[in-house]
Amino acid sequence: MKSILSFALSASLGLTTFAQQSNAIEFTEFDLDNGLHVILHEDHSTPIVAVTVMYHVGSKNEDPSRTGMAHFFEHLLFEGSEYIDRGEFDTYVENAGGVLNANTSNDRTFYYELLPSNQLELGLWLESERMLHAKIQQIGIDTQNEVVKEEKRMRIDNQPYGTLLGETMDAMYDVHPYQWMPIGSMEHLDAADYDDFMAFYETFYVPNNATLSIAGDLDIAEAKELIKKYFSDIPKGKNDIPRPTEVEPLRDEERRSVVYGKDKLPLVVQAYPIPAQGTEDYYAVDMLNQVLSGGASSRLNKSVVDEKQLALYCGAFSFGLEDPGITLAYAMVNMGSSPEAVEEAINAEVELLKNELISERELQKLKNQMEAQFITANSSMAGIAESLANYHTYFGDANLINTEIERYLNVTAEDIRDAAIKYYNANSRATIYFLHEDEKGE
Amino acid sequence: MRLSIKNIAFAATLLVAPLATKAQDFRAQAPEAGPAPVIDLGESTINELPNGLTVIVVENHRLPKVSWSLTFDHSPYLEGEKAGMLDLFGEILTTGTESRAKADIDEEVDFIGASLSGSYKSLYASSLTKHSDKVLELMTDVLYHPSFPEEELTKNKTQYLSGLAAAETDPGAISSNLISSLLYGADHPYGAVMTAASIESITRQDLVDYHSKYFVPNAAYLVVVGDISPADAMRTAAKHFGAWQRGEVENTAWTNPARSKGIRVCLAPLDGAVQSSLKLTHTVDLQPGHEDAIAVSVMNNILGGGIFSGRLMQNLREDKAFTYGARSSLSTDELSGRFTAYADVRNEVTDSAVVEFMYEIRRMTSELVDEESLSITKNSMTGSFARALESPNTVARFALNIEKYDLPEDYYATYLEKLNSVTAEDILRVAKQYLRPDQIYITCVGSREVMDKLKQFSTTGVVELFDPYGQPLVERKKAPEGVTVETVLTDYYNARGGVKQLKKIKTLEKAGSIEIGGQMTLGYNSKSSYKGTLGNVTALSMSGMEVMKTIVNDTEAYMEQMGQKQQLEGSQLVSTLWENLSATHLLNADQYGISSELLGTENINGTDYYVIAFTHESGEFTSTFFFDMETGLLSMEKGVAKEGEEVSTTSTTFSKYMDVGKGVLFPYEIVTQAGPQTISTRLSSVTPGVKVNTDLFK
Repeated sequence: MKSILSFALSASLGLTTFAQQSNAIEFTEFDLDNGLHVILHEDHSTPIVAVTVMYHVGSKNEDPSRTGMAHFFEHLLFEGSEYIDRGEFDTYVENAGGVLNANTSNDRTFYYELLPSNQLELGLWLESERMLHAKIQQIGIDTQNEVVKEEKRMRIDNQPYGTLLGETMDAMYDVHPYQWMPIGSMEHLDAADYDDFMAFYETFYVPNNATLSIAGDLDIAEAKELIKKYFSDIPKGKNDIPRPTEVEPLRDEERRSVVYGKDKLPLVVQAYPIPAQGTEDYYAVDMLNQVLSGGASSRLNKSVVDEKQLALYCGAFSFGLEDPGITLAYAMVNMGSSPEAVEEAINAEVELLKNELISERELQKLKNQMEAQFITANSSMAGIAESLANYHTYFGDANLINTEIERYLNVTAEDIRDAAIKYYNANSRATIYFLHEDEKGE
Repeated sequence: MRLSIKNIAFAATLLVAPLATKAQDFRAQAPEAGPAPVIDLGESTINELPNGLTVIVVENHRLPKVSWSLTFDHSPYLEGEKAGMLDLFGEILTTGTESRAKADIDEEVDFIGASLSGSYKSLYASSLTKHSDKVLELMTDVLYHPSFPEEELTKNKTQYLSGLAAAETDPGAISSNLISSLLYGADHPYGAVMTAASIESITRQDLVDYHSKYFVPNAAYLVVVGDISPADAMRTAAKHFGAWQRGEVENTAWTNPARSKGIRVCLAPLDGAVQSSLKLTHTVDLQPGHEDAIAVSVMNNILGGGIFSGRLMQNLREDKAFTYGARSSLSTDELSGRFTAYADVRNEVTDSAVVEFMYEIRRMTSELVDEESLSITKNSMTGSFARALESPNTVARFALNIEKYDLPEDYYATYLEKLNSVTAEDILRVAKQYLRPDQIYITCVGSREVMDKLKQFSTTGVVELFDPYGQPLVERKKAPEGVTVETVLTDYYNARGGVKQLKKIKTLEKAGSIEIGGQMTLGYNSKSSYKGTLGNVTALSMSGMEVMKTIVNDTEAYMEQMGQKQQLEGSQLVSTLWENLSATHLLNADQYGISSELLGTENINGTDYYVIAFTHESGEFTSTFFFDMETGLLSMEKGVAKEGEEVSTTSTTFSKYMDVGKGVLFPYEIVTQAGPQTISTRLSSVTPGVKVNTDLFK
């Protein structure tokens, strides 16, 4: 694997030209008759293949009395199927030298296997069993019920500031189902029965609500044949797929709350409602967040963390969602400072963005950062398969994997200023202080 | 459905037994794998600059990016009382140069969308290919001319102090402190635990000194990965790193502390925790690239690796639903590797989870693994090896490891071959050699409510408590009004039959056995005279042959072994005389220049104790005695003795008090823990009033 390069300092000062390859991700896509959307990306550089299925169902599709269902269901679908015994899902994949997992967000559920490329068919078989033959059994329901509770204890209850996002969403939404998190309510999960699960399966786990996205060392023609073999006879769903229609009204008064917990340092969160991902304004808001906290030279890091030393760290990001989402700024308060001082400093930076255009150089910096991030994002087969599925599921345009960068690069200094004025409105925001329980007065 | 697996490297051909039912449905059986693909390890190029800098290049044009990564290679550095210094060094390294302030560096790096980061043993820069020159200019400015700005140090110290406050409630941080302290201690490079005091003590000069000593090309590797040809990379390396001056690096040969004698259960209480963060851990002596390393890695994967197939995951998650995930890790390291099995479990099942952990670890060391698990694991590791090659950084890491650890050139090229030749017998052999379930630390960060249930696992029956920094937790309350040293000691001797009765004992013989380090058992006989000619002689024997003797009389004490005599001196002599010449010696402390103080009461594992410290006027030894408040009896003695710079600690428990006549009680079991050594004395008889030849005391 190693060759010794004979090298002399004085020698060969010739020019090297880099083959500036195009970084465009090429792909093929088609629909089966049952509505399953398929995306294939061929790349032979490593003998692996990522087989993924994205179901367009997340916590926002849940019945308000059965929150946590989508995530719980994701767990259940590893329990086995008609032809896959309980626990054997994992064994097949490990035996083949692959890995698998899944995750659930507010908007979608994503399953993947990363396999040696000669095991593509195995991945298709497993995912087709999941779509066609799920076997819901009491033992699986009982086991996964405990596992999910442990997951909640570990990821939320026992984590520093683990309730941050949940509290923020709860404060930002009253009518839209984004008000609860994918982990949901443990009481709801306890109350769910077999019929609830089967109804969920029959409604959402249907080919016309799924995207099969595969990337890696494959032959497109062969892959198409195999996909037809395993997926074309899966019946199309009979039920309507419910999508939430609730529109969260814009507030006219700031919501302020305090959450007491065992974390020692205060944390300040400010959240504002923003438009859905993919809209023009969404990109302006995303760039605005980049101004605030993208890199060490960003405004919050430079001013609030470095210069004023009010916060231990600051962050600002958009929680981009299919329906209108939120953007949030948060900061962990430094010793000797106060949540009020931090809040004031963050607000001052936001106000500045409303009043002054960012400079030409700062805008160029944002664009350079976005370009580097965008290029780096497509470095693995698993990442490419997921991005393709995401772009198709949310926007019906998988090619955004190549072109979305232009939407960022088109954002102007004026757009950023306008986004600040339009969306960073004190009356529509929620401000939450996370304080130590000792701070709780009488 | 059962699978039998023909295990051929990557191919993993699945031979599935045909199913009798539904054989007509093609879905009824798993598809077969296609022909095994070829795994290409990728190329790396290696060369050395005249100043000793080794340069490794991995060319890969998938993305228009290049990364430049310096790794410094020297023996682990002991931070000692300046724990946190190395981390702070990493924070501040990139925050200023002689010509650039932090804001300048940040802005220039961000402007090209690059990244630049440092640690105490690395410096890393990466950018799109078109920005390579600029990022190298910044990287080398930091490398050659760091200014370690005083204000950045102050600022980072403040942030670290804030971070420490947050870490006090973070189970992960607490667990890591606890394990560092238990496995290594403060005198070992891996035992450093950051505290407010350690952070305060760090100065700018410490960072400057460290940089000038260790940031030298002859103890460094430069790894270049990405969109660049080897020739071009070497040319660029020579341009930017060629003038870097060599330096001298001293490497220290560290000694690792001994493993725990038995199983120790260590709890760091975290109020309000809803889960116990369990980590079962011990050190492992295994060098990277050692011939056992691959078999050990397979063994660990069967136990606690894999996706869900590891035994711990199957048992604790899939079967019992105790946890979201249970895994184990086993690291190789040039100085000291580590085995850790871990899970976060809910409070109620903490003890049950420990039972399952211990069961699975012991099972690895006592049973051959089944062929199916072995196949799954090998296939899984084969796959993971191949998947890792997707990243050019893996190829670079392989090349770096071969250089750093002096591995055979074909170590990774033959990795899959070696992996596939591992047998079930190999697994059992390495499990026996490297897993030490009887010398393991069971550490837990969680609620105090789990404490009682964890006692059963501890060799000594004690659950030790620790603070968030891995230091023993001492929670002492003030003794109630009216309780003094005198009342506690009087109660103690009364509980043993009364001072009057004890003072009537003229001579005493104690006989039994003494077990040293769990291996050697010797006969034990001790004769004392407490009236007239004072003295004691204690003899240890093996099969009736005397092998060691200690002799104490009213002025001197010595040990005799194989005809060699060793006189005790100084405070050691004082304490020996004090302990051996009276049946009620705690009342005579002041005659020996030893003062006593009632420290208060302490609750240990549900029992309340009065705590009294006896300290010699020289300050050379302190013994802390724990008297059971309910029975009045002495339960424990913790000793700290200083001899020059050497500090030794002992911990002794006294139990099985029995009546030797006239209501006088003596402890029949005395267990002393001295460092890693356990010495257990078990008496079979204690006889007052025997005839003792006082000539023996001379």
